Amino acid sequence: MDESNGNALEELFPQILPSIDDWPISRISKARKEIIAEVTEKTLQSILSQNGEEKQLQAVLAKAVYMEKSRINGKAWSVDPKDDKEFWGNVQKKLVELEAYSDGKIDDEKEILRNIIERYVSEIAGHFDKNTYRFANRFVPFAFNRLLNSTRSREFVRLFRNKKNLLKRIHLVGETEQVRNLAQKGTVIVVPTHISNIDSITIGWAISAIGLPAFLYGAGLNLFSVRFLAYFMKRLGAYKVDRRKKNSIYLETLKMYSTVVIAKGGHSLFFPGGTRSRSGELEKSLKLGLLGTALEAQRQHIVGAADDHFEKIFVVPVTLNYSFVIEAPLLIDEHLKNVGKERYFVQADRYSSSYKLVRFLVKFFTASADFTIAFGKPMDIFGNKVNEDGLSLDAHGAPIDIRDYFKSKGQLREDQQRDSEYIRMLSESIVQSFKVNNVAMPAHIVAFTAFSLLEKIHHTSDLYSILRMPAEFRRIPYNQFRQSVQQVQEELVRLEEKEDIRLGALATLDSDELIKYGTKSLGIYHAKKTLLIDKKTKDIICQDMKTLLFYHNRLKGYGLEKFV
Amino acid sequence: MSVGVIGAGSFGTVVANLLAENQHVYLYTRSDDTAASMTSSRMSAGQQIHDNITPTSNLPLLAQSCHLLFPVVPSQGFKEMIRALAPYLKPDNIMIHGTKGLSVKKKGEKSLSSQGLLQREHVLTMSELIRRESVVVRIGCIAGPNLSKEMSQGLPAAAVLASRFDEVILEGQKALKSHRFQLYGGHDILGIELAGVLKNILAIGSGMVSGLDYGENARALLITKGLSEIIHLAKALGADVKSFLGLAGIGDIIATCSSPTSRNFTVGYRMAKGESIQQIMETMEETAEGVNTIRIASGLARYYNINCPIITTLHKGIFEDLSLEAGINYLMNYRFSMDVDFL
Repeated sequence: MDESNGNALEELFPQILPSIDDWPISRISKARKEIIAEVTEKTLQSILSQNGEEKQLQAVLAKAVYMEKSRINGKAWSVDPKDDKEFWGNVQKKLVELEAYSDGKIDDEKEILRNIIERYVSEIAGHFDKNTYRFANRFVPFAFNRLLNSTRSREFVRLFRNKKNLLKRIHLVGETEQVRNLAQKGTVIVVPTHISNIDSITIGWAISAIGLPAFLYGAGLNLFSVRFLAYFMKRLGAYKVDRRKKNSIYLETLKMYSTVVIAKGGHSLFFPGGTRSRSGELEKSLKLGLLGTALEAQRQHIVGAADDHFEKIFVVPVTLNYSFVIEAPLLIDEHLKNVGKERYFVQADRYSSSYKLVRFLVKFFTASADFTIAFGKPMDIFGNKVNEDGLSLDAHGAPIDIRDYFKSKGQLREDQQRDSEYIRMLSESIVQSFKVNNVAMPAHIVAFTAFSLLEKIHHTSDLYSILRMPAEFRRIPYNQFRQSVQQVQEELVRLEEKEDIRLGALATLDSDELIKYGTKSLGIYHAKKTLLIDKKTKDIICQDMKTLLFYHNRLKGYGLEKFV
Repeated sequence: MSVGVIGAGSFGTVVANLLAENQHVYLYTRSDDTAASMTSSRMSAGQQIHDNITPTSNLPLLAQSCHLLFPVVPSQGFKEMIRALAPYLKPDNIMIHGTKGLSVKKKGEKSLSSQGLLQREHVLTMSELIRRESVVVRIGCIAGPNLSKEMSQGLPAAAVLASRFDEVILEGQKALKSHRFQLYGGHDILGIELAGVLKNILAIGSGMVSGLDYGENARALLITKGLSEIIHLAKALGADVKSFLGLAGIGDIIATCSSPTSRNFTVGYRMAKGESIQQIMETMEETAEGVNTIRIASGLARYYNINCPIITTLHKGIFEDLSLEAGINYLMNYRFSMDVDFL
């Protein structure tokens, strides 16, 4: 990457498929009707294969009816279809009749099931409109380019007079070339970390900036209630995921949809953590459901191959980092209260109006937040690294024939328990990749050091007593702080050499500069500035322990506290 | 289809003989000469070998003829073995190991010698080593009260076969089916591996108690308190307590801590009788894994600040010239806080 000019990145990465009509997402959108039919049929078969008996099938339907009716009795969302109540009422009526006159046949139950699945797929399946894409693609980079080219305060210009590239607020690092390369050889699944609502935009921009076609993306149905967002999301290939619907028919339909579009070559994007990290930490455990659909698509490519050639699926973990996460106070509060997910999704619909959303975006893009997007090494669906031709390699660099993973004693064999272990292995590899591609930014370094130092000074690791510490205890003498920051920086350099972490462009600044810059950029627009440098004494003052904890957590798990 | 056993030590030979009741077995040994003499004498590690066993020193042959492999080599030689084998292995191979030791990564070896501290990421169980060095993922581990001498006499025994893959458990149980050997299945492979590994520490301690003639009360004290220490350690390494209360934990502890035929027990016994650790190691025919395990366990305990007075004292007694009497005296005056605190 040419660091000397601040031009938009997309000029440096030409689009790999210049015509939008050639994009997988366009093909999939055009075939929407056929795909709905295919997903319906396959989901039906899948559910029947496990519930072939009349009684079993009735139980599945009854459970779905029960769960859907209790969802409908709750607060409705504006996206919910108007006939929801009527539809499920009818299903219930028919089901009661069928249960009363049980005849040993499943034709009627099958028909009801088919109707439900079809209703679900039609809701889930997304559209893609190239004109909207073109518009959004001009609008979003406009905001990002502002970050790329924005000038910092005069003070920092002076500080980095000879290092103009450091003035950039956005850093795109990692295996971008290989990802571009593999997107032309197979299907790419991008799996980013998740910490802010802005992530969808950030990763969407990054994908377009490195010259890849738009990705399919499962967006929470609640976002479609915001008219402004819904307009774009509906046309940008996002498919809808309703987290309120937890019945087995819906989940099976959703997974089948994802499997089918991946198997059709649709590059896809999942946030494998499932939800934003409440604590600020990197994801340590992942939701396996959607990852499983990528594995299943790979298995189908192999089982369905007529000869030695089969399509391959590549997984690319991406670590996103910000010096300012606008919703940090809210997230850490939730983490501390340990609020259940269920309640959260209903309550925290914070961007329920277009006005609030636009205000959020404006605030984010005008704030002097630094952020980094780090593309990890692409891997195959089993977590093995792959070379530039997409060939899977073992730890010693020898090629692996991945078909063997689906074999037993040399023969292809289906085994769901085995495959579920593979998904767990993949999720471990993704978590590991998140960790080594995490980017230590000055803001995180000062937050980590300050929090750990306060723990050390007050001899406590009891979280709640630290969080409740009175103001006079939340001061750190400058020299002590500086020394610890320097030691942490030195350890970070050692970790980077071992490729255990990435260093932000500014992380190796002289410690005094790093402290100045880090405290300033840390959570820059929070109501209470997280860290301040006392003008007189130069002491480091912590004004908000909770957000300090949040940003500190990003560097947890590297053993850095031993150097504070 | 044949199955393979890697390592013709006493336990490897026991496993091969069990397997040979149901199918043809290749029994691998590194040395060509040993393989040849085993073929002619039909003896291995002092045991008669079954007619269904073919001794071999041909690693590619072994990997190409067997989908199911049982590595039973000492932890010190495990990495070298798996590296040599790796080029012939495929993702559909199944490996079920019976090695009761840990491996320390290169990075860690340095930190172990300089500061004596050891982190989780520096320590590998044998299944983790297989994962790291080869493409094999279908990995299992066998552990339990399996004193080789008794099993070679055909006496009844049982063990746990742990794997995350049902296929591994089923294939292993099928291959090892025997009226004198019961094999339970389980999914907690880390717990089962660590139980098998860490119990050797207690076996050494128990040997010392016998060597010093301290009696059965002292042995019970050592085992009970020591069990609590190894459970805390295993928890810090990410394992589940449950496995320690089964065959691979308590079961194996009861067998090894009371048996003079156990190698680790013998190490402790001979130390108590005045021999130095060097003398003992040089004159033992097969590796006593426990000695290295004490070193690793003590490094881990120090890094994670886990209170392990028994392990620490054993470490000092073996590696740092602390006399055994002084060690026991220290432990008897140590103020343990609670009797049971790991449940």
